[in-house]
Amino acid sequence: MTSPQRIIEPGLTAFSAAEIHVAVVPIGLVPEDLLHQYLGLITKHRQVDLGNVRSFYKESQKSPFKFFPWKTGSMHFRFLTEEAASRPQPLAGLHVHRKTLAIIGILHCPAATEFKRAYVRFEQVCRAYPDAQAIRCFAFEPSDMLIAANKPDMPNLVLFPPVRAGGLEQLEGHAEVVMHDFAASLLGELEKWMLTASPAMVSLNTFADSSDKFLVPSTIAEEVSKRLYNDEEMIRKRRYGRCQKAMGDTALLAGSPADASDHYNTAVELCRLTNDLVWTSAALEGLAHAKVLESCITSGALRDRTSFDVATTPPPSPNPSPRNPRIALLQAENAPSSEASRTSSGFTGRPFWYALRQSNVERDVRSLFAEARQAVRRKGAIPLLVEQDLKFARFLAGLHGNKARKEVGELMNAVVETGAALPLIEDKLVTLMEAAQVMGLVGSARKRVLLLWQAIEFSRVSERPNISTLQIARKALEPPDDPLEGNEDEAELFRRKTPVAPGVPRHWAAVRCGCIEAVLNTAILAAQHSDVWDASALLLREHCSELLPQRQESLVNTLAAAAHQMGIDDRQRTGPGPPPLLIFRRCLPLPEPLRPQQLQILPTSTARGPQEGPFIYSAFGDRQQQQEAAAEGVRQQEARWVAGEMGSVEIEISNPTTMQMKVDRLALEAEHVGDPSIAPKDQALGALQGTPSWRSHPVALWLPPETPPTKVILKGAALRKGLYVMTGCSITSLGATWRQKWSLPATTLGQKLQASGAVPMPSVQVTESGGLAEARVTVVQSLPLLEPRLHAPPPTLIPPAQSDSSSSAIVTPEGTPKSSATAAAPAAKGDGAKPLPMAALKGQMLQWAMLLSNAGSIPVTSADVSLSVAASAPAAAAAAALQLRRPMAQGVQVSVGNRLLAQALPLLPAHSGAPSRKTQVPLLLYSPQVVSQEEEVAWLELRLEYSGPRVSAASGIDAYPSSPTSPASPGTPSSGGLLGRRSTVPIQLRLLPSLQVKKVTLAEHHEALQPGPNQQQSQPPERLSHPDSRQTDPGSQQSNPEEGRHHQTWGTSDPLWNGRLPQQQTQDTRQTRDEYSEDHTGSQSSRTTPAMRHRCVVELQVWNETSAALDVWMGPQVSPAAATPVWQDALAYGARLPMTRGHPSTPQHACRRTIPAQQQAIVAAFAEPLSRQQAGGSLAENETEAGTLLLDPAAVQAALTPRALSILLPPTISISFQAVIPNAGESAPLASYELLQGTGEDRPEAAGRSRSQSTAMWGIRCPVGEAVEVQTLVRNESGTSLEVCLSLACHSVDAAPDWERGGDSSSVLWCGSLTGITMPLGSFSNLHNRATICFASPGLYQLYAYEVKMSHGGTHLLPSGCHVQQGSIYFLAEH
Amino acid sequence: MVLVCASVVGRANNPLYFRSLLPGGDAEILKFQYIVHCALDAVEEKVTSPQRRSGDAVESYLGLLYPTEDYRVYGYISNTRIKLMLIVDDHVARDDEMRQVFKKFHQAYVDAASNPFYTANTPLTSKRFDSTVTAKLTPRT
Repeated sequence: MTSPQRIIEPGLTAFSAAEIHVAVVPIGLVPEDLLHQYLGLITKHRQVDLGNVRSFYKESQKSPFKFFPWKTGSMHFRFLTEEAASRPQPLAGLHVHRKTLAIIGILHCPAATEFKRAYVRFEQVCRAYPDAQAIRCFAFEPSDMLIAANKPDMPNLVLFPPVRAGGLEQLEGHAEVVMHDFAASLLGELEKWMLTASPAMVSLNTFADSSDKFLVPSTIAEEVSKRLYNDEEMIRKRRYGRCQKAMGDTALLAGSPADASDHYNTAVELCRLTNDLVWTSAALEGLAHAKVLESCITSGALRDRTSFDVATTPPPSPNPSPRNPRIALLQAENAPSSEASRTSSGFTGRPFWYALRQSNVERDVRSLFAEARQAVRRKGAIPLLVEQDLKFARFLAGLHGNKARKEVGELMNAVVETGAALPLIEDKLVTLMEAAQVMGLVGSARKRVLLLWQAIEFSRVSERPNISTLQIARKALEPPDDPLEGNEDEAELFRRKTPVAPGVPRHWAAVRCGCIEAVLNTAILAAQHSDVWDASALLLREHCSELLPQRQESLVNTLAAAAHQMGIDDRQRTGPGPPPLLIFRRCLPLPEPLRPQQLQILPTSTARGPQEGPFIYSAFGDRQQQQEAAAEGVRQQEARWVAGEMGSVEIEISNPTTMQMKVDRLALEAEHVGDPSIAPKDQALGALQGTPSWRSHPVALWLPPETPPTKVILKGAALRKGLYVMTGCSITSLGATWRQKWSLPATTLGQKLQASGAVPMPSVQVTESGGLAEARVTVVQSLPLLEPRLHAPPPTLIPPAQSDSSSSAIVTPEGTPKSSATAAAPAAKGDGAKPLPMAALKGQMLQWAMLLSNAGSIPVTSADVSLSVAASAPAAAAAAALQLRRPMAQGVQVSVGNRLLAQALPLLPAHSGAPSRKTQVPLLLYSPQVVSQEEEVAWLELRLEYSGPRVSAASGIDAYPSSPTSPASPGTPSSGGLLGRRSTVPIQLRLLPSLQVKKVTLAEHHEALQPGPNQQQSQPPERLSHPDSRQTDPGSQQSNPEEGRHHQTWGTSDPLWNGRLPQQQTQDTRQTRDEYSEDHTGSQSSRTTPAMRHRCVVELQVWNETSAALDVWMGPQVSPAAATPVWQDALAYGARLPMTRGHPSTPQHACRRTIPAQQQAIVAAFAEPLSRQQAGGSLAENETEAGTLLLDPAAVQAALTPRALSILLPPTISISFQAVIPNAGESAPLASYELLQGTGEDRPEAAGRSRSQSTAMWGIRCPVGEAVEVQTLVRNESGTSLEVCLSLACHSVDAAPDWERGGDSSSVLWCGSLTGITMPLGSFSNLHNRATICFASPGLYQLYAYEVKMSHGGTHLLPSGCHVQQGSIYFLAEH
Repeated sequence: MVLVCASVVGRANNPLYFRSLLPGGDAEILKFQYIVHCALDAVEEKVTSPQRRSGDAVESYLGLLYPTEDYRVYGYISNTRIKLMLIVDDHVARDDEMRQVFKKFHQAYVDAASNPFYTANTPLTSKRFDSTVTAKLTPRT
């Protein structure tokens, strides 16, 4: 018998006895990726329920198991690689489970050129395993010919269906069926062995009986005992006892711990009887295993485990292979179960250990292990003693975790001490490493590190292979295992090589550096260049401050040399690398015009109002508004990117080394986590389609030595919708490429102290900063991109020095990137947008246009343009506003032609080549500023909101409507709003003084009314000889076509006719009224003034402050607000703006006058109602520029003298009365006080009523009983013919008016028409109506007219459209 | 008893001071680092589960923490959770003697920490402290 290298098996647990060793052997060439995928299909079935096996089980013989748990039991497999399975097992005679009982070959048919030869190779491999009882050869991806062929000579061949033909589900189901059949076959073989087992098959001269590597030299007492028990009977019983032990092992492997306990009990008795101490100990150990397994079955720990792990274990990120991605998907879906069962079958997990802890099996196991250790100690089988201690320690660690640290620590101290006496070097090493791992399980991570360091030193001293020492050194760097999950020794056999990961806490740098240096030195000796690179990078990355500059330089050289030695594939490192270090700061939000916004492109009526709801007042309204504002602020700060467009991330990069570093390529890396709106399976399928999800924008850097954290902006484009996590950066330097994760930002000393105080025991786990919440960014679906250009005509009135950038035809802010919106690009540069400087004259109507072109790849289906006037300067322009020191302009009016934009939608993207990818939105601005003659500033905000078609989660972009969709049309946007973009262009509009009205005067103008068309077209008098006029342009008079018409007006005797209305010549209103009254009440019937027309002339003394000649006239109201509806309709059909075509009434009402630059002139016009009077101006040179200015109300008020007012507001109809008493002649009129005194009473109410009824109170005295002739004089003061209908009433001022009866019939007698007097009145004509009145009793009477109605051409005039000056007369009737 | 290494460990189990007291002991400084580092596990065990009855005074002296083949580690913890650790040779040391040594060690640390220019829980770089420790804890029998 050859001497084995090691006896102690690493990774043994209390459940190892129930695990069947299965060798998994790849046959021929199997690509590594596919091999791992095929292994995943197999290792998924580490635990097979006997209930599932039963359907494949053929009971060919009577079962040897009496208590076989078909419903609750299970079989367990431990899959080993060929190397591990072929390792000699010296204790295979003692423990059956150490044998390799089954073989599974993996054959990748496309790689096997000759299938038969490959199968023969498999059979040759199987011969190396004489104990194998079940053999299978799994052939993946077989060809059609192979499937069709009959293979009677290949009984163990199992063909798996091709993935492309059968699909994933079929492959998975096939693997399940095959593994269940495999387990049933193995169960049948185990039963067969149980039935045929006999003591004759048992050897008494095994490795455990004779080897000096296993047993210490026997003492004299033992020799005596051996001879004492060496008779035939004892030998037969010993054989029988060992046979029972083997049968117990087999029953345990078959999944029947109850049967195993029976056999173990018998074995213990027999072995004790025969003083077979090693087998006694092994049987006791097996009995403990059986107790534990039985407890697992009865407590249901095995059943609960699977469901728990599947539900709670997060799936690892899929790593699809380019060759067979569907299998990778399958593996990723099933990863939880396979990952959980990878460590030690199904005996892991928190519920498993909890159920086991509740079963009170610990006491039995403890006593059995103590007995077993006692027995083996007597025999001196140190390896067996170490194994039992390790098994028991792992069992305690699983049950109690860190609580068992003390007991386990003492146990491991004993193990280490005992292990020092082991004869085999490998056993010593395994003992040290196993003790270290067990100490790690109970939380003694530092002791684990010390033991592993001792193992490294021992391995070096023992001159073991460097590669083996490297494995120990790597393990020392790794974090300890989870006590609930067990060790990962078996997993390493199938696991790919992972980069060196530091698992030692950072706080003790010397120890950590020692571990890393151990890996580095061993890897150099073992020529493992990738490990050399990893270790050097780790030292430089995390312990640069502890290294001397010379050491840093040598490490950099080592890095470069290792990268040079590594293969091309290895140069693409998956783990982190050396500095530069990266600190993530934030994902920058997109610039304002590119940022996705939740838009509400809705009609105003349907927009949600603030008072929506059943309650008028909400007590929480303010709070809700604050919360909404805060949420909006957070939303604005949150970074949201758009799929397919470039986003920016702010990071800090540092170089802590003392050497200059050249980074050849630095690219941002991001991982697409998923889209909440898409099902996970669809996302996985999308990922498997091979479409990249991220496109980075790499840069190159030179980093000086000891570079502090320096801010760098990196860019990248997310290509899918969903959530992205910025995982780090891809760095290419020193000949290798690696993925650098984010480092934690440097903390202050106080933060360090706080952290250290809060966590007295630092966690072993290294904080992964890649999962920072700030590193996540939401990516929305692709949005359209409109490129707006503000088109403003070049102003010709403003000197270039004042016009700023508005002198150019197309306003384009400087530095605008091509992909961004032209007018809103400044928003990307800082916190706020720099306002666009524009200039205009006051009162000028600006006709701008916004050219919109779709620069993106998505059609624009809804858009809205708004131009608003800000109440104050924006924050960004505050500095500029302070610099300007100009007052804010008020009353700026804007209008936007959105209807035309709605008709132009959808705007197709540029690449479509469609003609409808551009449109133009007209804008109109108007500033009717007149009060201040200084330069003023208006802050405008041009806002453009647009969005593309709605995107559904399943099908992507919906088809956008073919017909034009108005943004205001109902149903287009939902209540939740559309996701689109909003670009805002702040505009600083400087309003420069244009016309300055120095003075306003009003003059009376009498003109003769002559029939003819010129009657209504008479012109205001031209002030040719105005004393203030400095007009020097003679051509302006001649050029006025209306100039000669004023000669048609009358010459006048009124001093006001030819001049302004001087203040000193104005009269009191009372006097004016008296004059009029006198005129009407006197014998004015003979005075004829029918052809006179009184009008008022407005004269403005205007100063042109511009540098160009202005054509100025006064006209009616010209307002863009009034013109908007017509204007929009006109625009919709492509008509020109009517503003420059003047105003139809302008030539009729005003005369144009061209005022040269920097000069003044007089402009006159007939006054219309003053409240609507305006002055207008237009350019003589360029008629596209026009504007209006409101007159200063104060100046107009100053000019509005009473005389002028009396002319401007003439009474249309005046009604007066004249009374004639035949006997007394013409009575003298009585004043008011005389009238009141005549009544004999002082009745204020009567007087008050009288005053209220007539503006002038006068009367006559008349005797009672005498007839008084009353003449009613009605005068039409207007230029149009009217028909007047009125009624008269006369009653005592004491009595209430009796409108029905027309007067006070009891005291007043009438003769003549009283009611319904109808008189046709020509223009400026009088009519008389006579009546006789007689008073029956004395008193004060009042005569007046009521129900005065006027009509013109059969049309009744409303009272508001005319003015009636109605007089009344009082009669003081006396005896 | 020969003191071969003195160490001060901070609240977060980070080394504040580490010195080999053996002449030319820098060669084994890494080994001492591992041993002291490992002994912190024992400190945690003793601090978290003190084996004393209720009412007993809090004992700063932790006693033997971790024995190795060649050395033994003794520990002492202050009220501010500063751990003082000494590695002695394999000779069994008496607890009374070790207490006296730790009191001197602690006094030296208190003097050093009382320096207004010293920030608590940061590495001790005071030369005076170093000389004091060297003078008071140099190998002697």
